[in-house]
Parts: sequence; C-alpha cells; structure tokens
Amino acid sequence: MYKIFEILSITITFYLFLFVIWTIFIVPIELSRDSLALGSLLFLPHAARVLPVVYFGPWALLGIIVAEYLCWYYIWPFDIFDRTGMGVLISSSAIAVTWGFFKLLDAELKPFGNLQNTNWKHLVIFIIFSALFNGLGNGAYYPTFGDSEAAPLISIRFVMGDIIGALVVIFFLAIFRKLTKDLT
Amino acid sequence: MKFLFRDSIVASLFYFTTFFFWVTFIVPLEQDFLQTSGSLLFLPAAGRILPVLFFGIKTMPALFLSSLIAWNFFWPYDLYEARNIGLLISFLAILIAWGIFKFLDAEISFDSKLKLSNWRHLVLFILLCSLLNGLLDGAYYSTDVNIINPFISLRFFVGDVTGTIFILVFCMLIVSAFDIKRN
Repeated sequence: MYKIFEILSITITFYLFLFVIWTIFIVPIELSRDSLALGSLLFLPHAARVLPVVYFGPWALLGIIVAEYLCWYYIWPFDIFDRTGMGVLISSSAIAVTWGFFKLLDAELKPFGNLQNTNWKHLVIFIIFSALFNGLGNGAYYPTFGDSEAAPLISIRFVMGDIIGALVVIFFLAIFRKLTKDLT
Repeated sequence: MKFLFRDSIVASLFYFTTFFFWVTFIVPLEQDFLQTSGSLLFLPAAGRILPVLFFGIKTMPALFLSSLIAWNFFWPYDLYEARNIGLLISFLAILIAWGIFKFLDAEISFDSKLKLSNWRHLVLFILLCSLLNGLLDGAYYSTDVNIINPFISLRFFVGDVTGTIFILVFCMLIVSAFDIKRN
C-alpha cells in the first residue's frame, strides 16, 4: 500500500512539474502563432505519461489520470484548446494500451527483458508507440466530438508533439543525471 | 543477386495473391462504405508487411512495383480511387517502421532478441506499420482526396492489423497442415 502511494505521488508530481514547465515556457511561444489549437509540437508532459509507466508499472496509470484531470481542469490557464474529459481519458488509455501490447507481445520493458528500460533506444520505441496511439485516438476524437477546430493533420501534430516533447525531457534528465551524479 | 531475384518474385506473388483474395472475397462485402472509410480487413497489408519481415527490406522495390501494377491495372471497381502517392506512403510507413526497429536496437530476426519465430514480436512490427500507415495515409486522404472522415486513420489502422493477422493465421494453418501431412 505504501509502495502504491509512493508511485502515485511521484507520478502526479512529475506530471504537474512538466505540465507547469510546458505551460510557462512552451505554450506562450505557440500561442503567438495560433498553432496550439491543433496540438502542441513540444508537449513535454508526454514524458510524464511514459516514464512512470515504464519504470513503476501499471499503478502509475492511476496517477497519470489523476494528474491529467488536475492539470487540465484546475491549472490550465488559457481559454484556447478546450481539453475535454474524454480527450484526457484517451491519452491515458493510449499509454495503457501501449503498455498492454508490449507486455502481452513479449516485449515488456524490464532491466533484463527482450526490450530493456535501461536502453534509451527501447524507451524511444515505447514513446513512438504511445504517441501513435494517442495521435490516432485523439485525432479521431477531437474533429468528431470536441469543440476545437477540425484539422486533418491534427493526428500528425499530436504524434510529433508527444515524441519530441518526451525526447526533450529524457535528454534533459540524462544531462541532469550526468551533472549531479557526483553529488550523491 | 540470385536470392534477390527469387525473393522478389516470391514476395510479388504473395502480394498479388493477397490482393486478389481481398478483391474477390472482401471488397464486395464492404462496397457500401469502402469509398470513404477504408477496408476493415485489408489483406494486401500482409502482402507488403510479411515479405519485408521474412525476406528483408530488399524486396521493397518489387513489392512497390507489384502494388502499382495491382492497383492501376487489376483493380476492377470504380470506387476507392487509389492514388499512387497513397501507395508510396504505405510503403514509406513500412520503411520507417523497419528503420525504427533496426536503428533502435530492436531488429526482428531469427537470432536477435525480438525473434522472427515468435508471433508476438511479428505482431509488434505489424502494429507499428499499421499505426504509421493509418496516421500518414489518413492525413493524406483527408487533405488531398478531400474525404472528410475523422475515423479514416483509425479504420486504416484496424484494417491493416486485422488483414495482416488474418493472413498470418491462414499461413500458420497451411504450414501446420503441411507438417501434419509430412509426418
């Protein structure tokens, strides 16, 4: 029980942190070009969906759902890009579906598995799969049921934003790890 | 060179077989919604994905040529105008998926971690090919051909996955049947 609580707190904190960083530094730049309504091209919080599930397992999914609702309903400060509850659910489901496929198809990311969570290349494969599921799901949902403007290329923008955002975060984490490894 | 020629011919024949099976048995059942949405059991997806897995990326030119011939000369209906750019995108999706697996240290072969002899690993590759094809072709058809259907990407993805797995199961049954006969 304590372990689950720990996983949930770390996941929610990590998501909140990346969401705030994205809202403060990336969103204003994209807002100035009116392109955000079709999906961000550098969606940093995607890393906070992928990494906890890869390293902590499926319990992190619960934390992701809670964090997404908190962020999009209570922290998101802009009027544009109305994020509906179903969109949040689709994003979380995309991670769950990806994790399920990797587990059931004998390719779960583990320290000593066929695909390893210590190998950044394998991590990138997981990110690509999750971004594609998220892009396809949300790309179909928003033009059909959402309030935002329909765009045929919304799926591609979602996929690109998720992949680039997650890679940037991983890159920064790697640099952070390298710089701080002597401090411990 | 000899193997390239042989593999290319086998791959092309495999593509034509899946194409004709699809046109003969599946398309007549799906005619009402095929124009705007894409097939939900697209067997030729197996014709282009499985040969790349088993014979290698070198069969891609032959497969692309086969698909051009099949769609431009053997497609018997007026509906669902297949654009050559759409075909090119489909093959690009396979090329990208193959590149992702190869360069991200997850190549599928008989002696690597992800094995050609493990059907689960094959399905993983099929999923990636179908996701990329759904995403790219869905975006292309929505913008260029002016088919406005937000679900087209999802339907392309589902059609490719079900079609490829259907053919994979069919091939496994045939192989099993021959084994039983031989024993």
